Amino acid sequence: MNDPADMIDAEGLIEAMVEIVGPEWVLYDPEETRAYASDALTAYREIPRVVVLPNGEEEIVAIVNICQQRQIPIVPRGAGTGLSGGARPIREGVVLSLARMNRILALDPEAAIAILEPGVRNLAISEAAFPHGLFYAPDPSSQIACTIGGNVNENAGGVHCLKYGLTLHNVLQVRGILSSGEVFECGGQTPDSPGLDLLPLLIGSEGMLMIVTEVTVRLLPRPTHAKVVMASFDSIETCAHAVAAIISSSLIPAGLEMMDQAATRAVEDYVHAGYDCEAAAILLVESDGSKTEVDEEIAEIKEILLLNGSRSLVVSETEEERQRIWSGRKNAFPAAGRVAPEYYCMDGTVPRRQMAPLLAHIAQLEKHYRLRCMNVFHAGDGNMHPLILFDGKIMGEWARAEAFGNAILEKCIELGGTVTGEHGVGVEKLDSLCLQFTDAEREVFHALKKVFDPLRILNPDKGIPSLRRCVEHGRKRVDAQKRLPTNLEHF
Amino acid sequence: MDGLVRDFTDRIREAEAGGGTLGIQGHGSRSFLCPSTAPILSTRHYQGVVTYEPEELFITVRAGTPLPELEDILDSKGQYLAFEPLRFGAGGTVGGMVAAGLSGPRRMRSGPIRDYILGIRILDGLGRELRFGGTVIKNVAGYDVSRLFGGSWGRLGLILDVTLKVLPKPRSSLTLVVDIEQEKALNWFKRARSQPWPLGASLFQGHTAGQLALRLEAGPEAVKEAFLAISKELPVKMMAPEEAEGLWRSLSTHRHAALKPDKEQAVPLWRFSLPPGVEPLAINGELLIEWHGGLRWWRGLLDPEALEALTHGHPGGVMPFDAHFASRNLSGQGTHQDKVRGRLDDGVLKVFDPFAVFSSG
Ligand SMILES: Cc1cc2nc3c(=O)[nH]c(=O)nc-3n(C[C@H](O)[C@H](O)[C@H](O)COP(=O)(O)OP(=O)(O)OC[C@H]3O[C@@H](n4cnc5c(N)ncnc54)[C@H](O)[C@@H]3O)c2cc1C
Repeated sequence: MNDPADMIDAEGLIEAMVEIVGPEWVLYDPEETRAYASDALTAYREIPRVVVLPNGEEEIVAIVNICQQRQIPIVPRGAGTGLSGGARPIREGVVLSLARMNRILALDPEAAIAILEPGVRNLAISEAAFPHGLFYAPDPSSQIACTIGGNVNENAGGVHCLKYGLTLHNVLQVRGILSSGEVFECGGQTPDSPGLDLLPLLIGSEGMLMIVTEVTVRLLPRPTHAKVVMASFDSIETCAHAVAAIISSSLIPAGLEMMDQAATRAVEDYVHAGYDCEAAAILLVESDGSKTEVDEEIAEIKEILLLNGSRSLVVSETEEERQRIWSGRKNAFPAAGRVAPEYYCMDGTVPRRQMAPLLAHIAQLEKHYRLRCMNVFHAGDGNMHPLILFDGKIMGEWARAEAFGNAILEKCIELGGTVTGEHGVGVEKLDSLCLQFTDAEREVFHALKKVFDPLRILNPDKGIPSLRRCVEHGRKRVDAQKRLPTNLEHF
Repeated sequence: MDGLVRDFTDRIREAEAGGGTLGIQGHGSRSFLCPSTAPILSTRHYQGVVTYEPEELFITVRAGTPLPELEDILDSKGQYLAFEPLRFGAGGTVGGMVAAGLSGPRRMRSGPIRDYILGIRILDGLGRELRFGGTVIKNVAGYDVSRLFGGSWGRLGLILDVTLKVLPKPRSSLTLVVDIEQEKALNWFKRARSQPWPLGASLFQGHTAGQLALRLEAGPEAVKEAFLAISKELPVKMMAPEEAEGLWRSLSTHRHAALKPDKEQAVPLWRFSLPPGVEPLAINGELLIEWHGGLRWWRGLLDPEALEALTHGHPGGVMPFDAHFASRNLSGQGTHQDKVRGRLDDGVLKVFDPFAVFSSG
């Protein structure tokens, strides 16, 4: 065998990268690259051959050109907080970290926009907008760490998305580098821009279509007041019913989150948010706006909740109290990490009225797979995050957790929902996608990928399963047309 | 209805096999923007609501459903299409509304039509029936294909049905008016952007000076609060509700006097799509300015150089709102577009319609 360093650098790749970005921004020692072996879905790991941290579009173009010539896959990476393995490295590929490109290029309060490099952290945007009375609305729970580039590529949501929309609704323009090395700009500061509207294709494209180098977001006036109601319920069904009642009133709350007892207990032990741990489930309902608006809405929300079986209510009286109540929800994932060695977070979405049936089904699955599950979700939009608790060190537990997760996702499709609401497909849900789309529909996805990335070097193994994979896994929705696709891609 | 879908499929496959083309049409109310010489594929009989679940905030309707019919159904449950679609004549069909992607007065508050598309069922240029998206608001499985159809002007395929997000109607609405200079009005919007006022729509009509109308929409208390706050800045008056309704309707139906074609149709109506903050344009005559400055209508004669000079340095587009509107809009002619963009658009069109069955719009 040759020296391992030679094997790693068979094509002089590392030298080439060093030439572009300088030696301190190329990592290839496994001791260093190990930190990039996975995103926050740590079950899927691969130590990358090389990690490059460029600073600026020109460097990215140079990197892309080299990878293009040598057919080396590129895995773009933001903060690596993704939960579906989207930034999981490809063994023979390059991990392209955008972390150094973290400048806010412009913030224009008069136009209420901010122009950002991809590595700007989500929370940093609202912090910068704060003095101008503005904020950036999508607020994933990971907002301290996750980047706008990652948000754009996952179409990230947050607890306030019910009222203010997802990343898609708050991004005006995206600029990036295609795998051809060309710059492409999409969307704009004008309310409509000519040509096909390709922006929705790019948002949520999981690093498969282009490397995002600049994002223009719209900022909104920061509400001057906010209050949250915490309501307790004796059963999951009544709680889910109350959600429906709120939505079908003429209110759109700023946030509407639900947690089951397993979740409230884990959280309460961890952050002492003041949750009612005897309740079968609790709801957090937020109202924001001007003082009178909030008072008006909170009164209405309280009435609806009480009419619909809430057995007790707490309304935040101070900002401190509001923050404390939210801290529980925001820390649900780490709390899960305290009660079990590992947790597996699912992300299916179902129509709101199907939340209670889905939860009942999950309770059965817990018995079947002999694993516990705690449930937190963005109830306002039916986006569920069951957290399956397991211990990877126990033989077979991870496999059971995975099977449990897949069973939940299959149920989500059956109930008229989708396998992923905001965490993306990544490597994790490839098989589930076989169920959600027909061959012809997946063929369209592959063809779209080919338009943007004909050489298939951008995150090529993520997002969309090949037909072969779907056939081999025996998971396939019947094609409405029963027509075999032409020009199949196999990989 | 299945019979109709079979007919559509047969006609598409025939066209595809014989090198023919088809022009998709609903009621033809938008044909003046996208005339087609191709044989018409009409969706007008493919109508009706597939599913409406008010408490889930979505409705699935067939493409040929008349827009006013859809609006009546939503209205009966206190809901509406928040994007306040621009319509012509009797209102046209839902399919046409989505395909044209033209938003009305509420654009700056609500976002574009495409933001409200949750799912779509289509026949592509090979006659394949495909579904993308679904009925839920959060969905990131696969690329977001359904939203591509907003503003696609029938070039990507035939929309069979579409699932739209619907919302509760605002509980109260109040329109304020004030006489003001154009420049002052445009500047006022810049400040208003960071204020938490429920500004649902705006309209400036006039030239260097004119009238500004502001529509506030929210709960009654919030509307009152905003009214009081704005009164401190501008000497606004309340407009009578019926008059206000007529004003905004004249915009969403494109029947405002300044938008109506002259008898000979000799003078074109120009549509300026600009970043809202752009200063007053150096042109003479009356303008209609919507979307807080982002959309400006002007009727007059402009030679290409004058046009270039007007918009120089600003992103966005200026186009006559005429028979070439759709094709210019799709090709990006008259705007700062590049060749990468053209190649990608072309590639995407070919994914859905490799034999250019729908290419003539
Ligand atoms: C505790 C916790 C809570 C979370 N809460 C939420 C939540 O509430 N809502 C939510 O939506 N998500 C949530 N997430 C998931 C995750 O934070 C989001 O998906 C986030 O958008 C990922 O951002 P990132 O910068 O970490 O991206 P990464 O994980 O690094 O990458 C995500 C994907 O985007 C691609 N990518 C990243 N940057 C670029 C770029 N510049 N160009 C092209 N492709 C790029 C990657 O290849 C990958 O496919 C949570 C995660 C954790 C760990």
